Amino acid sequence: MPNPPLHQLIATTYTKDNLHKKILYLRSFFSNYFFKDNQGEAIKLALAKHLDGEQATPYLKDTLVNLGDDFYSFFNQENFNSVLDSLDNEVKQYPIITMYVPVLLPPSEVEKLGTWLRTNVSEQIFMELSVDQSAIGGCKFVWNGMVHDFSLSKRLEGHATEIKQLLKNYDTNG
Amino acid sequence: MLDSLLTETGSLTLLIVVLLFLVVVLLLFLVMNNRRMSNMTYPVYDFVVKDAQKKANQITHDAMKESRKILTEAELAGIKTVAKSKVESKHVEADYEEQLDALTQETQTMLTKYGEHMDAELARLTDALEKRIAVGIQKNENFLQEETDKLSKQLASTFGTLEANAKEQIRSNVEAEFIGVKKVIETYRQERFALIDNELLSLIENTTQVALQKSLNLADHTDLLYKALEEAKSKGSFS
Repeated sequence: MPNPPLHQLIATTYTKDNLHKKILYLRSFFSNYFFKDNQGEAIKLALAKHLDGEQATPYLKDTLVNLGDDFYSFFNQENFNSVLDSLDNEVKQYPIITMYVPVLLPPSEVEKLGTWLRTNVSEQIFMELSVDQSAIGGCKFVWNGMVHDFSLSKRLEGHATEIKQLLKNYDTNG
Repeated sequence: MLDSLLTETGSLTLLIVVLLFLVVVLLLFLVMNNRRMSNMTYPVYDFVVKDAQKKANQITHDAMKESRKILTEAELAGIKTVAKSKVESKHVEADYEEQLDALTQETQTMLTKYGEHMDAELARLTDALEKRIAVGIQKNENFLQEETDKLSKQLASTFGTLEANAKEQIRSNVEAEFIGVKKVIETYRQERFALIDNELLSLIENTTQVALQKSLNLADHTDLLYKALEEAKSKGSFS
């Protein structure tokens, strides 16, 4: 487990993709903030401006800017690169679940899903989310190297004979 | 010593000069002597030569005279001989022509006789041959006619049999073809139905997918999502 201040970053990030983006934004921000003349501007304000310049999504911007002051006070000119590197290396050891959902989930739903997984599966889990319309409903996921299909399309396959019979009966009855 | 040597040399030179003078005088004496000798002997030689020449001329004259005589005699003999042979050859020529004419006449007569005989024989032969050919042609025509009649009857019989066989063959082939086609159609029908049955499920899936995407909202999807996750959890998929 990383340092408690850094735990805030992990706690508010549920997908590997978002985590990598946040680390990149922080690295570029600190590079500018510590080595350029920022005239003592407040760090969160500077961060917000920087993220606007990077065209970060509102969700990522909010989650980063809303991190506690103790998170940002942890970084300085000498340590920000090494700390972010160690965080990146730390996260590589966390378990990953690959999920296939039928529709694109908004950030809020991603957050809810991540919370459910960290509550019911593992508190250090990260997701890799993909959209698979053939699932129709429900989801498929890969966990511990095994594929689990709980999609609607799988259910239809499971009842193929009944469906065919139903159609035949429909055809016969007109 | 040098003086004595010079004195000896002078004496030697003088001696040599004197000797040379003597040799020259001797040579002159010899030349003059020869000239005198030749002047003395020339008239005798001249006489002998002239005499010989005269005799030679005489001999030559006699020889020429004799040769002219011989030539004249030879010419005369030759002319006589030529005249004689001309006369004789004229006789021979006349005889030859006479005999040649006789021979020619005889040959012509014989050839005419043989020619007439040959014509007669040829006419007789041709006549006989024509008669033979006419008979042969007639026989061949009769034979051909008989054979043609036989062949026609055989062909008619064969064609009739072939036609019947071909009709039967065609009929049975067409029947077999129809039976085969019916089987193929039936097999195709069954295969198509099986294919439709197999594809029916994916068709239903695609239709359902399209229909549900249009009808399900985000809340419905998330509801289905969490139901699926709960089911997975209950079945121990996350253990």
